[in-house]
Amino acid sequence: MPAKGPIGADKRRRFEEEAMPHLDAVYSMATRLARNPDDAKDLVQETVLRAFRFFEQFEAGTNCRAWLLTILFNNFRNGYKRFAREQPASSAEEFERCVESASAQREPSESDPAALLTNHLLDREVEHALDSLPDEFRSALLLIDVQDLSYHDAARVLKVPVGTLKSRVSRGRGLLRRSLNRYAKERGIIRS
Amino acid sequence: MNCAEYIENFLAAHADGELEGDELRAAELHLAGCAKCRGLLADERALKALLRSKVGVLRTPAELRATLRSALDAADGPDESREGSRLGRPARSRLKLHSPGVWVPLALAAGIALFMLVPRALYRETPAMVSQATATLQPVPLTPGGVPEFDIAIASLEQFNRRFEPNVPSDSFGNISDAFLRAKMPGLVLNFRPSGFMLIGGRLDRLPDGRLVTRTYYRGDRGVILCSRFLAKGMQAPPNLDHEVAGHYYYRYRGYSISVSFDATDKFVCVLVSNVQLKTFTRDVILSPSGH
Repeated sequence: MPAKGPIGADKRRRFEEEAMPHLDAVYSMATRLARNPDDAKDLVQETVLRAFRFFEQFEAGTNCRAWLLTILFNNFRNGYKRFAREQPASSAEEFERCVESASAQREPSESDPAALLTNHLLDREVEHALDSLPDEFRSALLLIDVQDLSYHDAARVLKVPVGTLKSRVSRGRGLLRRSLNRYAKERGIIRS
Repeated sequence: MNCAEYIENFLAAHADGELEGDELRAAELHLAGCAKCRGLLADERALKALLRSKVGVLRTPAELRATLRSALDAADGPDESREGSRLGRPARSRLKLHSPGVWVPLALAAGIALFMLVPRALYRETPAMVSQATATLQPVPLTPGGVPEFDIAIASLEQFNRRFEPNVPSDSFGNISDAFLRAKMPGLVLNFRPSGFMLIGGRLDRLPDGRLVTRTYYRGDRGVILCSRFLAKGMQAPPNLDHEVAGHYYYRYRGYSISVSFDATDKFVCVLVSNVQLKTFTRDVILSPSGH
């Protein structure tokens, strides 16, 4: 094997410094997308190795996390059938019908963000409500609300126009709110 | 703008801090006269906070990290394997920097420096020259048995409340982020605008032991916030924790509210200090997206 040159060493060092700090973000998103720990690990490994192989294409100073998540989503889309063992509702309309049928309509009380943040009873419900969303909305909310990407970066990850991303965030929150109403009215998390 | 227009076109982006210029002014004008939409905006932010707190970032399992490192070594050739192992090895000696036994002599030896003030142009033109900066010394009173990082953050905040001058280009989140990245520091700049705090500017300074620290300073009607990031060098979350939400450790300290968090690899620590009441401050932190 040829000895490693300074370019290769520099690439590895830069990758360790710039990309690897975002590994938890990649792993978290992979877990949400794949819905299965083993598939998530495969997805992470494919993403990291691909990112390393093409690391010269990463523009220094831009958002490395968004770049890695773009690769992750590409890998996920390419291996969609393999990862798609359990899928949520396929459309917003179907999702809303599911929520309607399961929801007992009652008036929620006033919001109290501080109270809801310290309430640990809802973890599973929130995760379930999010995971039940159609993928286009769930991905948008994960990138904006969990991964803290800007609309611009999230739109690039999902390969959609910013306007579409904005619409998905707005619609996704609306769907999530309706779903959470089923769980959260008594805690005063969301008004009608 | 009526309520339907605001809800359809502005509400989500407003909660996400994505409105600017005329759009932001139009949205705020509508909110000023509409209690219903103000309530909806509060709900939208509450929903974001709920998601962030309940669906947080997961820790990568150690075995997966090891697998990835081996895979990278294999992809990188035999010499890179050795380099990768070296890079991946944890620090042999991790100082607990919140121990006064480490910090007091360090601070004294350093002349108890707070800042090393560097001309603004230095960062614009030659960020590599950060290390050549000269110091302007200011005393930092350390609390006996306290947390030196907190004392330094509070001293900085109090100084900035009297006078704050950015020493990196601060006309946008992106410019501040770029300046930090050029200095090989984290480029993440928090955006507290959803909670009503405006970004005043950024600074690159040095801690008493010489570590670079990025600082961003925010002001709002309810108070001020200072965000400091620096190499953790083994620092752990100090004791006397008040509560923890989504990886942020919150403290009441000398009348201030403080949050401590670490990045994914524990390489950098972020210390937020504010004069806002702790419960409200917790919500403000959770609602803050990155601004770039």
